[in-house]
Amino acid sequence: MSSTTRLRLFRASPASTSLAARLAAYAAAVDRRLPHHLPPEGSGEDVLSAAVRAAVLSPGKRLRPALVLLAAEAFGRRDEAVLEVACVPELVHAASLALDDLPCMDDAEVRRGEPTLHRRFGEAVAILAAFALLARAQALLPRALAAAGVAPAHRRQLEQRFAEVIEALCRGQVADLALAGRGGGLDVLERIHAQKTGALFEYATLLGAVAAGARGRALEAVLAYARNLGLAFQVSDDLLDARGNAAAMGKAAGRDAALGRATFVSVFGLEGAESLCDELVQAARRALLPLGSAAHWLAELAEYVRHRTA
Amino acid sequence: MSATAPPDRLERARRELAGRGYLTGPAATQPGARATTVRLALFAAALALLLAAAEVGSSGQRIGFLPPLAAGFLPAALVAVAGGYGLCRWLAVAALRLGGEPGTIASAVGVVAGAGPVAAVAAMGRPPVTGVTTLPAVVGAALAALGAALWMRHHLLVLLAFPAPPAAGRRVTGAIFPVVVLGGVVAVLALAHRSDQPETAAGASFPPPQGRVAIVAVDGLAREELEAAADLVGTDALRDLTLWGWAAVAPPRPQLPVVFWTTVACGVPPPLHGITVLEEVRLFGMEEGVPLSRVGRLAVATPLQWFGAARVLARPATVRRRATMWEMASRAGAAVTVGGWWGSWPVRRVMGEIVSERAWLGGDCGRDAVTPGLAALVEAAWQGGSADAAAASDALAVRLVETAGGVYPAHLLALSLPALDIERRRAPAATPFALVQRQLPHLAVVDTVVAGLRSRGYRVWLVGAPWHGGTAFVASSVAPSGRYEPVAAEELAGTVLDQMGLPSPLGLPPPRRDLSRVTGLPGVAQAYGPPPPPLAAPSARSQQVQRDVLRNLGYLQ
Repeated sequence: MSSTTRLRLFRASPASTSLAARLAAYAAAVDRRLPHHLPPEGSGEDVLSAAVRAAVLSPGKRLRPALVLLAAEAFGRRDEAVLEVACVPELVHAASLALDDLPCMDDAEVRRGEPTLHRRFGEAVAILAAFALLARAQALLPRALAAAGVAPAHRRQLEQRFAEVIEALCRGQVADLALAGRGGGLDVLERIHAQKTGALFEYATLLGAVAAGARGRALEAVLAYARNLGLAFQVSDDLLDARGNAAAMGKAAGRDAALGRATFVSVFGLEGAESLCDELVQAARRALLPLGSAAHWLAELAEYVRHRTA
Repeated sequence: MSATAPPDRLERARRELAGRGYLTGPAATQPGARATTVRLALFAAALALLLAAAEVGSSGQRIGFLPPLAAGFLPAALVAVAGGYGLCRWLAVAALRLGGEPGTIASAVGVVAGAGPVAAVAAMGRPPVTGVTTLPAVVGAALAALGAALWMRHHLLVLLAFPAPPAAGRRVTGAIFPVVVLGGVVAVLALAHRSDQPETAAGASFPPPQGRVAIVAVDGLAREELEAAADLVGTDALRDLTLWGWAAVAPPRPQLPVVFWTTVACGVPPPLHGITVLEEVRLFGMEEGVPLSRVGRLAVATPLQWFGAARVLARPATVRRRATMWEMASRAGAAVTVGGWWGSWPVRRVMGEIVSERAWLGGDCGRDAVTPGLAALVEAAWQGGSADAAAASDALAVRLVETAGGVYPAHLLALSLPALDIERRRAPAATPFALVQRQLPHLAVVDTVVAGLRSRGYRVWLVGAPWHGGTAFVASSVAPSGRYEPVAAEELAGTVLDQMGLPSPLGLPPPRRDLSRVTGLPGVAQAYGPPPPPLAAPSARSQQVQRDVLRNLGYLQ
């Protein structure tokens, strides 16, 4: 597909009237863009490149890139340069999934409806692929931000924040592992998920908003939104896991219960977790009020997270 | 896994999550556009109040002028604050694009914003009245600068940086605004209460005046020029004049004729006598005008004039707070005659006659401009208004000297000869030779006046005050030849009264007896009271005409 066609499709997406259509259009645009930041498809001997490509290009919701794009759109920016920026959190996310699924961690067998990376390429390659993805994300970030016209000082801040997010992901995973087989209260759950899930959600939103020139109160508003959305996403993940629709989720259901891991459902029950999820989504929507109708799609995304089935 | 959690556990979870920043909106630390607009408007109001306080304080005006002046400054302050804010924002964004760090940019631009109020107050120029009354401007400007700098720094940090800076600093900067406003108002209220009014002279008794004294004010004459002119004109009187004992005079600030000559006449500095400017602005149809600085004129008078809400007029000496030497002499029972002395308009009730500068320079014969006894003299000298001010004032001076010795035998004669200064102001680009040619006839009049006074038995004080450079001086006809210690302008009034045998006025400097040659013990200082009331209040029309006269003569730009 030519770059002209890609551009047209990306620009055509805002005309979509439903969030699902918009997310699909954004996901498609991101899917077309991501290969540009991956090693080219080579011979079968280049196993690392194949693993990297497999980790990223497996079908996913592309929720984090969507957050970048929707946040930028809320501040009136919608162009190819932002699409480049949107690829950064997806590369990081793919790396984190590869590591999460390792036997020494969650020991998952299925991811996005396919065998996990270490099942396909071996543990060592999966680990190295994750490193390669993080390196690519780190290399892409300043380039994409500069292309998007982000001021040098802001670029430096975002690069610094990038490192903090990676470290937060690691810390969240360590805490998660430490919790395995032991119960935990809300404080532990919140800390783990704020680092494992929330940090990247907030970072994706920050990237989009800053690229679009958001500052001050408006920026605080979308970050508060992202914070609530991140936790709501995790609560809804726990709810999906508890309800156990593996096919829709693309991964094994009921694993948390099987591992004796504390979840929002185990701590608060189904109804309690649903109630918390509702309240977090409402809080996310409320946080957007200062932005008015410009943040319509971000608000819709919060509802989508609450009612998602996959 | 239970299907439900106890409600209290859920409630506790909500509180716990709220404590960690969930379930609530963004922390209410960042002001939105509306809040910023309100803050800018508040700052503009504070700035308007500060500038009004600076005007009122620095010119020693009544506190009653504060509200209309603040209202007058408000539109300009709004424009200045909005423009300044826009400029600062633009500067900050441009610096950010060039690679600057938000913190550094915010601090630097904050300093620029802080310089704004200081620059506004500084642009008003050195106040005509210095001292404690200028404190509101100084303190207010410092507070406003601090408030503007801190607020702008924080605002730009919020605008440029993420995460946003903590809210603690904002609470401090937010409090600066009311502090500036309240501090300014309190300071002005406190300082506006003047306690320097002259004591009344109820029940005072004075000795009878002795002999005749004349003080002749020659505007625009330097000591060096007098000596050159004596050779040039070549008359005995002028040559004789250069042989009188003389002393340099340190003129007070601001260096305006009206300020200097009023200081000479009253014996107190400008902050006390209250005459500091030539013009005043009447705002919103008020009965009384207020003097304004350059900034005030530009920011208040000019825009309001477009809407007919302000008028710029000549400022009469109605506002003078201290009695002049002739008013004091009159109170002590001496007959006085005054001709054209700056600060004598409107004429006041004295024992004698007064031709104010309004009649002297403009030929006006109204009741506020000249006492009835000399109206005909003014009319004749001005030839129905067709004469020129330099020539008319010379003619009036010569006629007054003649009448002072005859019909009105004044104990004290105070005469102003402004012609030299008028010629120089009219032709600032004239060559020295051309200027001397223009001034020669007027120097001859100085000669005639001094000779006339001497022949009528007056002890004469000649005061020259150049405004173009050169030495201001006072010469005494009774002082032996030579140069004496410099004299302050404030010392002359008491010295003249002392020479007339009258007690020194309370609060005035002691007389310079080395110049007056008065002997004997000085009497106990006595209160002469406030100035007598004006015979008539100057009309706005008269003030308007006088302003035109002064403008035409080159006293106003």
